[in-house]
Amino acid sequence: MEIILKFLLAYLGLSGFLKSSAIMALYFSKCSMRSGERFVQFLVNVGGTFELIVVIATVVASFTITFPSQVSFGDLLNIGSAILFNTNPVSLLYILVSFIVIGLVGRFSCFYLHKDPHYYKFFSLFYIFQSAMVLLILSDSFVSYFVGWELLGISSVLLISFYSERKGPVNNSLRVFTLYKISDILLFGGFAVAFSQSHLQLFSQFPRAGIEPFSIYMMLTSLAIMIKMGGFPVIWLPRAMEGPTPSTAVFYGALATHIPLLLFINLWSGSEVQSWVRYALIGLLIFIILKATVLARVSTDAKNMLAYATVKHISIISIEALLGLFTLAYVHLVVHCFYRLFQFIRTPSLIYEYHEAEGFRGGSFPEKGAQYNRLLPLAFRKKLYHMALHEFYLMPRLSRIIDILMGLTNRISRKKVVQISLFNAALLLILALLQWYDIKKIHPTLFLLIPPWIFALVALLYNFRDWRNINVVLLSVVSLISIIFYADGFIPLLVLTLTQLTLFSLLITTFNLKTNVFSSAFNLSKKQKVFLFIISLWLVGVPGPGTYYLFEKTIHLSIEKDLYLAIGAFIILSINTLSVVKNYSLDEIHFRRSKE
Amino acid sequence: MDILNRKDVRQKLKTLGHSIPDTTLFVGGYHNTCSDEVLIFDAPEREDVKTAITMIRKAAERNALERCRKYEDVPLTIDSKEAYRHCLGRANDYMQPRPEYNHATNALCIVGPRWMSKDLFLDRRAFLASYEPEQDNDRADVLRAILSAAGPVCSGINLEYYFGYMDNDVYGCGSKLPHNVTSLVGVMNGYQSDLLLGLSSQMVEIHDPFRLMLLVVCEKHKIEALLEELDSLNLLVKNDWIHLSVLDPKNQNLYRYLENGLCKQIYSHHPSFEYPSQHASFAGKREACRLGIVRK
Repeated sequence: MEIILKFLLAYLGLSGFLKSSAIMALYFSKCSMRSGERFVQFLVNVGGTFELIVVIATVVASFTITFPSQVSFGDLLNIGSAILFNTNPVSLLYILVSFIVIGLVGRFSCFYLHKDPHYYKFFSLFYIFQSAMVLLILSDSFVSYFVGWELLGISSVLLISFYSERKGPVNNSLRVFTLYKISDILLFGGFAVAFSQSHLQLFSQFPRAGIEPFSIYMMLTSLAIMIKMGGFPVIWLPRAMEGPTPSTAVFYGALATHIPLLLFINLWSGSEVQSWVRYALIGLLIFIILKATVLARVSTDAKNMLAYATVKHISIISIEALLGLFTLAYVHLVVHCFYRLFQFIRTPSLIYEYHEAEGFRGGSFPEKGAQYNRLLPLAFRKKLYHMALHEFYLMPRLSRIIDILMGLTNRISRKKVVQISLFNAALLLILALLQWYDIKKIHPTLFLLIPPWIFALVALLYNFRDWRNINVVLLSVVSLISIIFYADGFIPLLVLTLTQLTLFSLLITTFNLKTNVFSSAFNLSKKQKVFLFIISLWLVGVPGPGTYYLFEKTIHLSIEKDLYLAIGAFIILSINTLSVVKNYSLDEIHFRRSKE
Repeated sequence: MDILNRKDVRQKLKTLGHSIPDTTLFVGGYHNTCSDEVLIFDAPEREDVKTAITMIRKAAERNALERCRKYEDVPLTIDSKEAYRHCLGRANDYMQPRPEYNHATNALCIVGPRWMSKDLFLDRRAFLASYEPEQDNDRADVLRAILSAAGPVCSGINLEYYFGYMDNDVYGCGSKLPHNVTSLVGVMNGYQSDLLLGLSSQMVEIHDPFRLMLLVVCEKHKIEALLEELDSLNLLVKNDWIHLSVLDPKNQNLYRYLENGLCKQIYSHHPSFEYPSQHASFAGKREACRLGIVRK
């Protein structure tokens, strides 16, 4: 019985990756668009039906036969912790929900995206998302959950910049990706804190007790989830409305904002945490709800309004979970997920529908929110309206900061990049000295992070052309991994660092950072660029070697209580991922322009 | 519509000079050109009315069949009943960004007597405006009324498609898929953009960017007078926004508007292309068909 169950769950997890890689292979092959579309339709229809049958069979079996509540896949990648899947009724229910939604939207998109030039891009990302959903819902271990989390982020961000020939979607996708990366860092930090204290790698093993680092873990994880669901630190969800309608519906209307909340509810169900975390989170959520209400009333277009409404509702569900109404929260989540999906899918035909509805009604619909006119004084309403029109000055300012950081508005000069890097190096050095002073260790670990940190910063801040920044990114990753793995003493590390700095100076001279030459040796075709992007993302980010080594090392490092190195290394990897995605997205625009 | 069927109204109209024959019956109806559905309101229970409605519905079904050959997801082997059902479903489908192709592939506007274009296979490319040159007076009042409306409207539609095809991002609104309805009046792209104008890429993708050919059946001197009189038409024709041809019904001469006015053109009276039947003209083809005469 367990063998069959194992096989079925493995199929559910892997089918998304398999379909996605098949579609990517189609993209790189010389297959004609028409037969390619037919193949994708076959995958969507037959694969989707088969998956749904498997899911329903598993759910039915869970009610009739008794099977283990957890299924282990062993230590597949030698990561240090086994991949464990939960098979409790709640997880199975959400697997059912997400497969129904994905199947429906997949079938919808088959026709909706017909003849679109980015047909393959959509479906390959869509199926990566499917696998991410399975990992997020079923995994019990940190590592596989985190892989799902990161895959969800990257697939949704690449779908925001779906129309990469326009500047707006690309800018917004990079802004959202920055926030996603912050959420990743918070989640990783939470895991690392929990792990370093009690060597736990599974959610289910958690002590439901009010120990101090545990509430820090709860706080960090909850904040990470709140970023993912679109409401924290500012409501960014409307910025994600750039992709085609089905992707908007399935990501921001339905699954991508809702499924992270499952972990939130699971975390808070039955755990005894100090109440200050709970009250702080409830206060924050109420603030988000009020803000979202005002913003939704001010926004004039359908998708933004729905995005604000989604944020508001998800916050309400989170408050339900925080107050201990877990069953209500589970049901509310499912119902809301389907309802928003339907609303998002309906948005394109809204004008026609209103026209018809008003025709039947014999007039326009009555004005909403008239009670506020009576409740609030005019001056206050005017001020509020003004503030809400500018999104309370929060998101525009945050996106401005991100724009400067990512070099979207105006390019940062070479001199400035060098200044910032030196400043950061000095800062890190001071931190390292403080750390040395503090714990009196044999070698200050933060000191080791200086070279990869500087490489990562240079790659992010300086706008390289035509994939030249991939060298700097790789240098950063290589130095990071070498530090984590092979350096056990101070002297070998110093040698290593010096070698890397020499390499970097060599790089500067080879690629001539001084002048901005647009033509270079890296003159690649579009498909080659996509290939390079996938490879470099895999090398740097998830679920590639970078993350794998990081987790491997976290497990070993944390035993020696070197938490800062692990988190610092993860931050550097995040920055590298950011600069890879940024380079790819901006390069697409540049490529298009040069073609024109 | 019922108002014109009333005897007292007709009597009053007759005194005003508008005579409606007793054999004429007004029946209200609505043809949805997207779904090809024909709704008839309050039709009297009469045999000839029923026949007429059946014929109209049959024509709508055939129209649906001709439209369906342009849709790639419809097999070419379907008959008109299936085509009608398909169009009906397609018009109400959320997942269909191409519910109809509207006026795409338009290229021609014929202002003339309907019997002249009878049995012509025009491949849904022509605007047909009915005009009998014999019944018009010397000042060409009817023609003026037709041309002052049909000229700008048809050329407007044609040029919208023309420019929408030539540069869809600037003169059109790009792909329909990321559109976001704003204020229930228009659409913008994604999170924030300008209001978009023009036709979407899904609507113009099968269009052939031609300038409209306006063919008017009337005497040469009448149209020359009208060209001087109607500024809206004159500007369009003179500045090459549309092509103008004139067929003189008296002497069967064909004129074409060139730089220095209407010039006589030599043409063959024999049809260039013949089809055995209406259905045979487009059956089994997705691409554009040649215009020709249908021999029954």
